[in-house]
Amino acid sequence: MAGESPVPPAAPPLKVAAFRCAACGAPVTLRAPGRSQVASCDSCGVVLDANDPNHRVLAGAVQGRKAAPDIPLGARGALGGVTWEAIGFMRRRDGSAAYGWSEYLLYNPWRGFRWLVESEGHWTLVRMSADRPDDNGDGSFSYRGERYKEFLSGSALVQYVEGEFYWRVEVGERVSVSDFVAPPHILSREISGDEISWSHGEYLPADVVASAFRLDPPPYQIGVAACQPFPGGIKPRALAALALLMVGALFTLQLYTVVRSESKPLYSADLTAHAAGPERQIVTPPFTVDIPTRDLELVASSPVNNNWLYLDASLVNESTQESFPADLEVSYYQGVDDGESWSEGSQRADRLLSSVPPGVYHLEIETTLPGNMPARDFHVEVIRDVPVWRSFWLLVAPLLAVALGLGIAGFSFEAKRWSQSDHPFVTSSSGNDDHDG
Amino acid sequence: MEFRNAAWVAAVCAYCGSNLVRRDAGVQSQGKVAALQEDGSVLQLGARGRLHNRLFMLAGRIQRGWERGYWSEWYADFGDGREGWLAEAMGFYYFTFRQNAVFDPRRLDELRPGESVRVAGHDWQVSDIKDCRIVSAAGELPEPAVAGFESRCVDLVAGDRRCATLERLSPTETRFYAGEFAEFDELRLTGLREIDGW
Repeated sequence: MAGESPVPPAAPPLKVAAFRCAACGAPVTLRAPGRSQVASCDSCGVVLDANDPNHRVLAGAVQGRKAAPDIPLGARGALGGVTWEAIGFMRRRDGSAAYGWSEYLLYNPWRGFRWLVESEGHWTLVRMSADRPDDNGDGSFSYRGERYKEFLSGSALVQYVEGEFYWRVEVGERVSVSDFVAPPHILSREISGDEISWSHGEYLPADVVASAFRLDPPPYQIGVAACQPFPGGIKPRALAALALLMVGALFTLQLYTVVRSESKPLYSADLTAHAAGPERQIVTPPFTVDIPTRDLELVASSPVNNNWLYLDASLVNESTQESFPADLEVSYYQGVDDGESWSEGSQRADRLLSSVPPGVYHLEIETTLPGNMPARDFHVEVIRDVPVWRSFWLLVAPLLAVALGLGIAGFSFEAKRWSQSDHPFVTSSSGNDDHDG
Repeated sequence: MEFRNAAWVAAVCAYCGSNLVRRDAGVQSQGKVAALQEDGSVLQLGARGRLHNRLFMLAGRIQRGWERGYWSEWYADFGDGREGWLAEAMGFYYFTFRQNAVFDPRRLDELRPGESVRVAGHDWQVSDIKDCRIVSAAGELPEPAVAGFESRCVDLVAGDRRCATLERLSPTETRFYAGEFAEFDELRLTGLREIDGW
């Protein structure tokens, strides 16, 4: 490369151009000289050919009522660190005239053009695509690693233009438009004659646009926009899935703990309960709680039938006299009513004792029986390291609540978004009742 | 007039606008080119930049006109003998290099925007078709630019930012340029044209 060669003489600076309106003689400025094909006259509203030496009138001022842009033409604002100047404004509406939106043409000499689209207070920054999205064949398109779902198809009609444009825009110009969304991004396909153009947009929070272009007050927002992301940058479905994944992981861990727990019996005996007398008080022989353990379980069982047995038990440490009370009621009732058999209660009762330090213990049990029964045999057991579900549920319950809450919030947000599309997934109940035969 | 690169055969004198062509015997003038039209480009001769870390300098310029305006194609000198061209449209910077592919010139009449076409072993999609003429030229060029010369340019795109242009020079000759488009910041351009008010 001939690096040492003299540099060619510099080109004259690029300047804003100005000419006189061919209709009314008022000055018309060209903010993007050499690029704009048409410019409107501020005073009389006609659209002029920017490249024609005589700047002939392309379209008369038949636009009717003037639409006031929220961003005045000529205003500059920084979006994503790049300064843009608003040079064109148009109002468009869909073919059925159900709704309209505004489009601002933004210009930067080095970076070309962008569209800032405002619809019901929601803003999207749109750029023409140089490359084409891939058709997935199922109504969706893929573009730069994202899958865009078909949102809305219809026609777009230009209602009003002001400023300058890089093509010969005309009021009444109609194109067919299809939108595909992957929030916060949107792909739009416009078909006009045999020309297909694609553009790619990103949702902009209203306060970003308002502060960039000093809008006061910003337009009021209605509903959920086609490519609006869930508030707070949250992806509700992904977060809900993460919470459910954590529940799954905790459940696996819990199952592992359950399978691994030894459930070792420390003491086991067949005893007899008495209704009265000193035999009501039972003191068992000592047994050892050998290692520090999270939980001990006290289990009593007795073959009661339409009857009950009450045990007021305590686990007592022989050296410290520390006592862990646990009352147990074994009661079981069953019978047949109107040909149907029923049962209530169980012939087994258990009680959990937490944080029992290692040591030598015995059980003190005071028994109570129904008045008509002098004595009853029962079985008692002390088991260590029984699997515990309580702490599992303490962790899992809030996670499930979060997953459910996010799921509902995400669903209602998406339902609002898609209610504006060709593919709503919640149908309005105000119409015909689907259940009518 | 001094030719800075032995490979170049044509140049436009920056001072008098004469179209100069190198012959074995020396430099001949082939008349003057028309004045450049304002096409809004921020590029200018002598601007430098990088494409995948390879330094280039804009050595020449061909300005083309079509029904609705003008655009420029800049001859980029990488110092490695490649014929690189940089064009800008809608803020995208298209970098293409001349290829040796053969394409039937008659087929350029049939192509339509959005259509698929296979050129040089790759599938492309037609993005734009323009009938254009050379309006003006400047700097040093791989061959003389003749004002008023008419051709049909078909722009092609493919995935991974690949782009290409088929240019029909005559009923019997088609040229193929292929490359990629880049963002302004990626090219790290310096020595650009001054823009008033920005």
